[in-house]
Amino acid sequence: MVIIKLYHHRIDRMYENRKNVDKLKEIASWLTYHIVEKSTNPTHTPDEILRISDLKINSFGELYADKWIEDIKSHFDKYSNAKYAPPLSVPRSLTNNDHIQKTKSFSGDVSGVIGETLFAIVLSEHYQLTYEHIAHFRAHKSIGIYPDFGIYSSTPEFDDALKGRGINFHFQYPFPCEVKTITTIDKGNIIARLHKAIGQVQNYWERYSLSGPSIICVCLRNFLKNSYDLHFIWCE
Amino acid sequence: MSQEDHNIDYQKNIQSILKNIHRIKVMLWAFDYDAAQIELMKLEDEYSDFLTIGLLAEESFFEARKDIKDNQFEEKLPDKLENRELKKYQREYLIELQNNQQIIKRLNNDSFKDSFRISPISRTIKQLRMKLNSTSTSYFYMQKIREDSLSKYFFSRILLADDHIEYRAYSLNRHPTREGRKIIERLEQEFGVIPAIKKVDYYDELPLPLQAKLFILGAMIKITVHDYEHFAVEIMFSNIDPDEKFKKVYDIITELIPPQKI
Repeated sequence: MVIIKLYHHRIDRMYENRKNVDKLKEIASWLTYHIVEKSTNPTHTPDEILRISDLKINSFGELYADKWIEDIKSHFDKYSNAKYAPPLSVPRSLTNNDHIQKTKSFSGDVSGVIGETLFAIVLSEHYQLTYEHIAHFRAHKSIGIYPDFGIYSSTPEFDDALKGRGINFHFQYPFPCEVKTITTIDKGNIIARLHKAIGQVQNYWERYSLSGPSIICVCLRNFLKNSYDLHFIWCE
Repeated sequence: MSQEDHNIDYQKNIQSILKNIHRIKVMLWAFDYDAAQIELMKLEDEYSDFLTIGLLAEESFFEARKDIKDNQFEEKLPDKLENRELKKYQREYLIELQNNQQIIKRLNNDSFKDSFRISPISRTIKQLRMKLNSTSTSYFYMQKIREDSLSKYFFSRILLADDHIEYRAYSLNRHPTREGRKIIERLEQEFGVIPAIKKVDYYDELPLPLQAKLFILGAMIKITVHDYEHFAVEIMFSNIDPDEKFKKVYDIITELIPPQKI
């Protein structure tokens, strides 16, 4: 069982500041402060809590986040378990399973897939967006011209979520979503990743010569609370 | 065709393609490469124009980007920022932004934008084709993954009209032991077959794991009860096509296990 804690954030007029690196850094720093504060301070209660079975994570990883690394496929539920930090020292005798788990524990690719999978689960459980609405663009990752996900059409739940945050969108173009997974709370790292994510979604809209909304999701593997903290940043 | 009709067409096509991509992914997950191959060919045929447009748009984007990068002797930033100390990610961001604006100046027309929104889908299909054709995965891992995924999920393969195969993946994790027994009993009654049971008599109190194999209509149905919370139904369609008769087996199983469709 994996516990997902959802937090929502909102940024206005991000696109207007796209040429101002100082302003963007300010936005990233402000977000980082709130992300770290909410994830580490025990007095903060999350906006929503979801409990997800390991098996569901496995199946969503298979169908929504395209695990192209075949070796991790069969042990995906073990990697995604947030109850313990993967061991740092190598045990003397390793079974084959342990070996795979150990050597892949800290691979950025694996944690990235976990983050994307959890994001897809939230979209599906919470906003009822299914495979008919969402497309995963992992195939483009090496090329780096698209964000992680595109939402091609909406559901009433997702429409409400957008309207509730004052975002008007007609889905003429895919709605971009970028997921960044973080395994350690390091402020400098989070700022850099947020900056990169902002750049990715802005460049996406730049290609259509438009300013548009997007979701940036920071997935924090929180060993202190035995949970994954998903920070949904709704940008406009 | 008006812009509105054009957009409705686009939405319909995208939805249908996304649905088909999902089905192919389930087929690959269930290790039915033959079915996935057929479905992918159908998809590529049906939407060939649509997909080609997407790939061409992406190609023109890459060409423009390559051209701009080739002519860029050094990473130049706008004058105001030239002498400032910027972090690496800030510098990369600004260069990317600058390049992007130049690309868009070259390609800025409605037909490009229209095609470019399809290109990630076209690319995904191309990647699926590459994955199907690839032989890089070792046999050992394929076997391991196959065993593991089949013991956790139940894949139903239903033949619909027009030779269309519908695949569904169900999670079997939450069903208690007794339901595995119920399936064995019902199949025994309906088809008059005697299950081959491994290790113990399943009517006794558990030791686990318990495994029963039934041969019905040329297919082998293997039911494994791992523990109180996990049980798996595997259906090996060796040489048969699932027809109306076999659908009865599927119906019994789905009636007894309220499946959670994935």
